[in-house]
Amino acid sequence: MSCLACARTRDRQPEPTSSGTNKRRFSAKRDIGNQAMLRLLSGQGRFAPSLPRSSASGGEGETAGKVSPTQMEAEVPADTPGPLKPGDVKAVPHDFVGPVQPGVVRSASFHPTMSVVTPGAGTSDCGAYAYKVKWGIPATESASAGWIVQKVTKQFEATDCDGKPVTPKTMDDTANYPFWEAWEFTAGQNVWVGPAADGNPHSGDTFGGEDYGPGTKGKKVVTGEVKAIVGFTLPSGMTVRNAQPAWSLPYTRTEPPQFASTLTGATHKLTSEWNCCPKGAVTKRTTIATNP
Amino acid sequence: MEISDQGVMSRETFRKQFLDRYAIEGERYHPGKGAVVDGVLLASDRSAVVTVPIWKWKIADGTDRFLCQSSDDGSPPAFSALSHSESDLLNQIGDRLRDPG
Repeated sequence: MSCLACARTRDRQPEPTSSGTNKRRFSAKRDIGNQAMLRLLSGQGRFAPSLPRSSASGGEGETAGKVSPTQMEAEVPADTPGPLKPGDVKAVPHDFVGPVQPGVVRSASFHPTMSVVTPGAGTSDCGAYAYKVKWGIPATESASAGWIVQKVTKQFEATDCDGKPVTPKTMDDTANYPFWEAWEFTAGQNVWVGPAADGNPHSGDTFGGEDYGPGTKGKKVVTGEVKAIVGFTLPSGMTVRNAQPAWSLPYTRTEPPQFASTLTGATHKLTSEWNCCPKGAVTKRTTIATNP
Repeated sequence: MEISDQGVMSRETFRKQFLDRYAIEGERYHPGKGAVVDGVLLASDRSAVVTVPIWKWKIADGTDRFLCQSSDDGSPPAFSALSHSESDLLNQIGDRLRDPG
């Protein structure tokens, strides 16, 4: 058995620094620019942007058959050719600047900006990595409030040197994906770690993976789809657990309806590969590719 | 030094919360501006002793925050607890570490 004790110190100590004893660019690329969207909606020019489709809706095809409540509320990009499914609406991002055409709505979602805080890098020979990006709110949304919500998915494949599958660690087990996590944002372009009421300013979303040791080789891909959703309400069950993987962020394994029904988010992706075979050798130290 | 709470935890809890590296696909709290060390969590088994600082600071609305956590992402100790009051923080620590048996 082990013991624990909490003790109060008598003396105050200074603010922590990165070198303390407690061991311890890029702008978001919008899928479509406002200017381009404005031209598209006004019918000027020949610009025909390729917008990603909403993952919650095909946006075209047969209208017969039963659809789920989520599908009934789905938004599709404004330039999606019809016909739509019952209940689908054409939408432009919430931060779209300019008049909105009849029949098109302003979505509750837009893309937050993303800046790289810690470029993706291997932190061990055999699979571990660290990568951090910071979300921001564009100036056009400085009066808005809501939550930045990210859907995280993972692909994992690893074997020993004989080609036998390696058992994934908990957070590499694809059975634990996808999940959704969230950061509240408030007027004034403030982004917070979890709820704003906790008073903890957002500093960066981290993808930090674990090492698999000598005699293994493999590949991990972590993908985030991130949206800022104005007026988002945390669904029941989306709570802070202060444990891996999301730590201080509200977390759920069930897709929030407001995430499912809004326009496709921005992409945030890391790919990690390593080869520590034959055992005792490092044929390929952990390599990382990221977007952004 | 004043010990405010103490208890017993399992070896598994000790290993997971204080010795093992951990994965992260999200964000952890960080001590806020003007944070000071207000206390320390001390955990041990037969061969290791681990300390985790308890930070205290005020947020913009004037209320206190207490955070028991080391700050490096991915490096042990993994343990983390945040609260608005010292008493609640102690309860959280106890709830999460104490051996239910």
